[in-house]
Amino acid sequence: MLALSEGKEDAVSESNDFVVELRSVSKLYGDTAAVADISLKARRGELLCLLGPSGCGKTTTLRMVAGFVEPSSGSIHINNIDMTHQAPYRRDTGMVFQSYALFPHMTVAGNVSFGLENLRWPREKRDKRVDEMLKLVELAHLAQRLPSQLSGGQQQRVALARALAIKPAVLLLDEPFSNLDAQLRVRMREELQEVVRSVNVTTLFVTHDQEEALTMSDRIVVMNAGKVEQIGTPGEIYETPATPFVAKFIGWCSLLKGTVDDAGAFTSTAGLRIMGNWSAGPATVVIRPEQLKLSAGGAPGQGQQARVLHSQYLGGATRVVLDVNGEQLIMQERFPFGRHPQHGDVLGITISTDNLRLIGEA
Amino acid sequence: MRVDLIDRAMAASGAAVRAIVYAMLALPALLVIVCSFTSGDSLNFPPTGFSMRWYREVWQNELFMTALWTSTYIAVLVSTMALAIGFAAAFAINRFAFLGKGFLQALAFSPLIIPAVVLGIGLLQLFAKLNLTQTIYPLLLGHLVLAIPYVMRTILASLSLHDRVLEEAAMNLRASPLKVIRRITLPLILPGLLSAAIFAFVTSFGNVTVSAFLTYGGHVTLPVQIFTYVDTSYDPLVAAVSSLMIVITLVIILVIERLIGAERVV
Ligand SMILES: Nc1ncnc2c1ncn2[C@@H]1O[C@H](COP(=O)(O)OP(=O)(O)OP(=O)(O)O)[C@@H](O)[C@H]1O
Ligand SMILES: [Mg+2]
Repeated sequence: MLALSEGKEDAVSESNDFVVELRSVSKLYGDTAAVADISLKARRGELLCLLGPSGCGKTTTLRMVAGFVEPSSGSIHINNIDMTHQAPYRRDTGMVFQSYALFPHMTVAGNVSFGLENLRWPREKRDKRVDEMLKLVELAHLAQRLPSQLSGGQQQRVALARALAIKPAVLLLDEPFSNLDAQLRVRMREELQEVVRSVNVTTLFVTHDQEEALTMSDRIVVMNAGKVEQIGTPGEIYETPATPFVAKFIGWCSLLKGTVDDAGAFTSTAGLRIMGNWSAGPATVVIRPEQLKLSAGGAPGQGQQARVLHSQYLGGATRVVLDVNGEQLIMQERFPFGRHPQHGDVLGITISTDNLRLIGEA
Repeated sequence: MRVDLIDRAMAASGAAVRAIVYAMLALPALLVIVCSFTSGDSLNFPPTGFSMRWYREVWQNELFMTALWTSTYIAVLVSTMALAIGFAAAFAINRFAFLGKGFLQALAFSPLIIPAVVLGIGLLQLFAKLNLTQTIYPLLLGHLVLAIPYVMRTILASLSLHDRVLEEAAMNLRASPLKVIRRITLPLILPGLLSAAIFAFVTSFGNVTVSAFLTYGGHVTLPVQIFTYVDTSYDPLVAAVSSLMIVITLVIILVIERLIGAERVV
């Protein structure tokens, strides 16, 4: 992909220059809240991902920023101007729709040029910009095609070029890869990231795919049932989930409910004890698969006794669900060929307490 | 083997039924057209000889030529107006929730339910009260009332199939609402608009029942003129006029269909 520099290449993370800001935004449909009191800020040039399960309000949030849905309360600011009640065509956003929404009666070039015509760019400047954008997404040779004559991946790139052509302050993407097959998805993900970085545009990106979120985002907004559960970098979200929901949603993990006693050790409700140095009170422990290790080759009699409930061969490794002291734990290990654990096998494991995440109950 | 036979029998009888239906639809028109080329003085089948005699007669007949002109321009006027009104109404019904929406919808479709004769008498009385019977307006309005339900129905169907996300995309690309309608909505529902126009034209051009009540001296439509003429005389002149009507209607339909076809290719 061609690099096209359009803005300052300032360090994203340290700036306090917020392009998009949502202040306590809610959206009610009847009595039910699609979005309930969301606040978030996107820095200039940042790629912010809205991640959450189906129906948690991601699309609604994005559409409120674009102006297609009016918030029931709260306010939305773009470049520090209150845009809460402004019409969509007066907002400085560029959106890539899930279905791409390319105009079927216009050529690829016509689609990309449409926004510029509305902005009353003179003809020559417009043509130059269209050309530039199509080169950016490597579609210059298809400029005169109709959208119906393009593949899914090509349509997606046209949609991106069209949205970026008008140099929006914010790029909005609603699950842009959901209509693509798995391989193309990974490729488009990289391409999109590259394009977005090269033009340095602030981006709000909606997905329910955690891998997409982890690999692409500067920061992730994890949403659940219309609320924000946690905002943080992919590392923060994965390593230090703020709530059991976040832990469970991002990556595989086992959640153990229990209490921390005065000695600082954790005991789960089923009786599994994990030594540590935590403050007393009810708590939930997050155990990632990689924190479970076979002790001394996994022979029973070493470490904790774990009975295999079921195992799933993944190729590079095997994911095993274990029963340890009445708690179910997920482990991911590479077993030697021919020694895959079977249902009912007993293994010896250790729980690594390094970086073990304990979520205290509020 | 047996199933195969039954299948074939069914297919054959299906084709036969279709052929009969088409024949029954087309035959009268065909008959009229064939008879119009007669060189004789009476309307007979088979016609005696071949000539363009009766077409020349029509051409020289001022009554029929004025009526043809009246019918044509009223039909064109009605199509245009019905399209504008029908689109506005269909758009409002499709897009907005407002008080009396159901009522508006029912009202727009009511001419389909009311017998045309009743509609004609009603309109006649109304225009008599308004002292407008000696103008073109009764005819125009009467046809408009007849055409709008078809137009609305067709456009409503197009609108409900039309992808609203495209309009959102346009709006996101800074197009004002009017521009969205002009550059996105209208071009995309053009096939619907054109078939609505056909409906309107044909409805107006061929109507007798309502027109009969609303015409007056200077503004007689062709179908009414034919009706009046047949009352007193029955010669091949009517066949020639009717053939002209059929041809005009067909040409309009073909032209508009060609437009739709062209739009689909582009
Ligand atoms: N126009 C509407 N009327 C009523 N309820 C709505 C409307 N739009 C959305 N909702 C509800 O609001 C909630 C959030 O919807 P939203 O589309 O934002 O979810 P989402 O996070 O984008 O989900 P998905 O991942 O499935 O796309 C859902 O429960 C949905 O049913
Ligand atoms: Mg969604």
